Amino acid sequence: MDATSVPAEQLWHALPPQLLRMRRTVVLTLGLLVSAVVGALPGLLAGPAWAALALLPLALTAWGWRAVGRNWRSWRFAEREDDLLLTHGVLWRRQLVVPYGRMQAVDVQAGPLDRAFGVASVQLHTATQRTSARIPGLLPAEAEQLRDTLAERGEARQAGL
Amino acid sequence: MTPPGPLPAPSSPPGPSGVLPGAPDGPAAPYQRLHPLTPLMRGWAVVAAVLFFVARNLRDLAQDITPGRVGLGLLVLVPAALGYGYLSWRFTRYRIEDHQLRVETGVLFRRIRHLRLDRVQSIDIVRPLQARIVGLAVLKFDLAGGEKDKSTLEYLSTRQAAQLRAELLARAAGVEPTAGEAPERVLFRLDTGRLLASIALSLTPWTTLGFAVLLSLPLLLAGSWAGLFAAVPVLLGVWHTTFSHFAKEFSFTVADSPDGLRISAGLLEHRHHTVPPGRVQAVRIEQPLLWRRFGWARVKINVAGKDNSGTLLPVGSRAEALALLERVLPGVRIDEVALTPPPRRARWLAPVFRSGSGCGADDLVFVSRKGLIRRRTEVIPHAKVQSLALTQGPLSGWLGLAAVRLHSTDGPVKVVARLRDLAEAERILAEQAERSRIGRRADVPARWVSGRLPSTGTEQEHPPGQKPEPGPA
Repeated sequence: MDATSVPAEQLWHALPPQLLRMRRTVVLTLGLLVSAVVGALPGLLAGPAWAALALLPLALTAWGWRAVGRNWRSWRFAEREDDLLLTHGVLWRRQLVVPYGRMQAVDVQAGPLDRAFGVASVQLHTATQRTSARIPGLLPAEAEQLRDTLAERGEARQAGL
Repeated sequence: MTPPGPLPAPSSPPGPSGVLPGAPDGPAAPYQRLHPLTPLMRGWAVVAAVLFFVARNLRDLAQDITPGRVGLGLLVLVPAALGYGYLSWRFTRYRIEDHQLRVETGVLFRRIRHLRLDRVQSIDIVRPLQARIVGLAVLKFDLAGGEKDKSTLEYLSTRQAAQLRAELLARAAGVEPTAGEAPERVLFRLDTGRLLASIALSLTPWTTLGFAVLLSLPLLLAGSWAGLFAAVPVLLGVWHTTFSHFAKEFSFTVADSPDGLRISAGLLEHRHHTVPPGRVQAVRIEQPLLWRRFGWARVKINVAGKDNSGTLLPVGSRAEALALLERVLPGVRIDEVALTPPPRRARWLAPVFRSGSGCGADDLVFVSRKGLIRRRTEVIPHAKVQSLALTQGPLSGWLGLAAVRLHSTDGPVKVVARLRDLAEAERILAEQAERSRIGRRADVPARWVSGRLPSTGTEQEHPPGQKPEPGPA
């Protein structure tokens, strides 16, 4: 973990493919469900031609599939010597720097869906909500390890308000 | 919140009788009680609750109610409420121990709370209207950790509250807790005429008023009064920015004392709070368009601890604003910070905004200025930056622009360098991360600073160089 004077570019971590799989599953399930409803109802009630309405939600699903992929690729973080770097977003880009000394708490969370896909999210808290630093999915072991390193470094570099 | 769990029989329960408030209990100061009128002020709430309950169930109770029963009820209720109030008053006591304030409450479930004075962000005296009438005050403690940790002592006499507060602050600051209230020197007192003028010269009430008129006029012309109802929410906005603003800022006073800046204000409810030195996280100077002709400015601050953020100066001259700024951020010269304007192509996103805006940094602070109509200058010391973010939306991304946000603690002030060139924004982000890293190391820890803050000595707290040697981790 001695990251001293190593350029940040070499330390970037990406998010695990499990997160992508989870998000794509959600998009696909919801998208197909909506498409089925939108296609079936007018198709049955107003004639088969109206089933073409399902193309719209299908197109949205396809776009969602791609968007989720792009978003997933955009996430990366790096543990530097004194702070954590976090970038994400494609259209709305955000690059965040959270000094370890400012962290007040680190949470690791995993809902039922997260657990099913084997991911856990890590949330960092500073004295302000505006920091809003959350890594949406890591492998649980990675997440716990990250939490421990962050907590340890935060302790070592704790600064007053 | 400290666990309010019932404590098993405390080692020294308040004597059932005969034990004077001043019973010796160790080397600490004697126990004190709240003001004797407290049960009445509190019991009033119980009676109100009962009356409310009765009123709600009046229909069901109607046939049961006879004068005799009411009399009987009152005979039971009033003494019960008073008795409860008396007991809870009797069982509530506090005393100052070495570095903490010990507060014992609860009749059945004893709760003993130790307020660590070095954790207290500030102590405020609040005087709600009903307490003000009988000369009482509430002492409110704001602890590090935000809104969850809030303690009050209600009610104390105004004099007692001021005394206790002074003593606690003196102890927290490590000053000899003898001299009673620390001497204070008034730095600023708001003139009522100027407050009125500043409200009259604010654009917001006028524009909201105009909006209300626009909203209700068509219907009024059509001969219906319904338009007035539509305008009610808008008129509430007008009320808020005029009368309620006036009542809140009335006789706004800032005084200098060893424990910090004392701010007090209020027409009906008189609020009083202290901003300890070194606790100010960020500052914003506002210069609305119509005020600029008179050189007036408003100053808002973010302070660690929930309730203390807000106004430092409602309206004052430039010199007054700068003097207060020097008090809260010693050594900072915002005029000497060179500001770089955003690149020309930013005008596509904000044609008016761009004029007069810019950002820059020196060894101590980062400064960002924006706006032509509501000009705002945001200042944050490097040592107070919580985290940093570079953000870019689709439009600004298309123009190759980005914003850098320097997150302060929660409060009215947000420090954002908007519409910067992307490469420049990335550079600012890296530089500020480095500066705040150095600033954090050099900053004094979150403790009360004893005595005055001399303007010398602050220079040593912040290394002048921009990139000193990377310290050991």
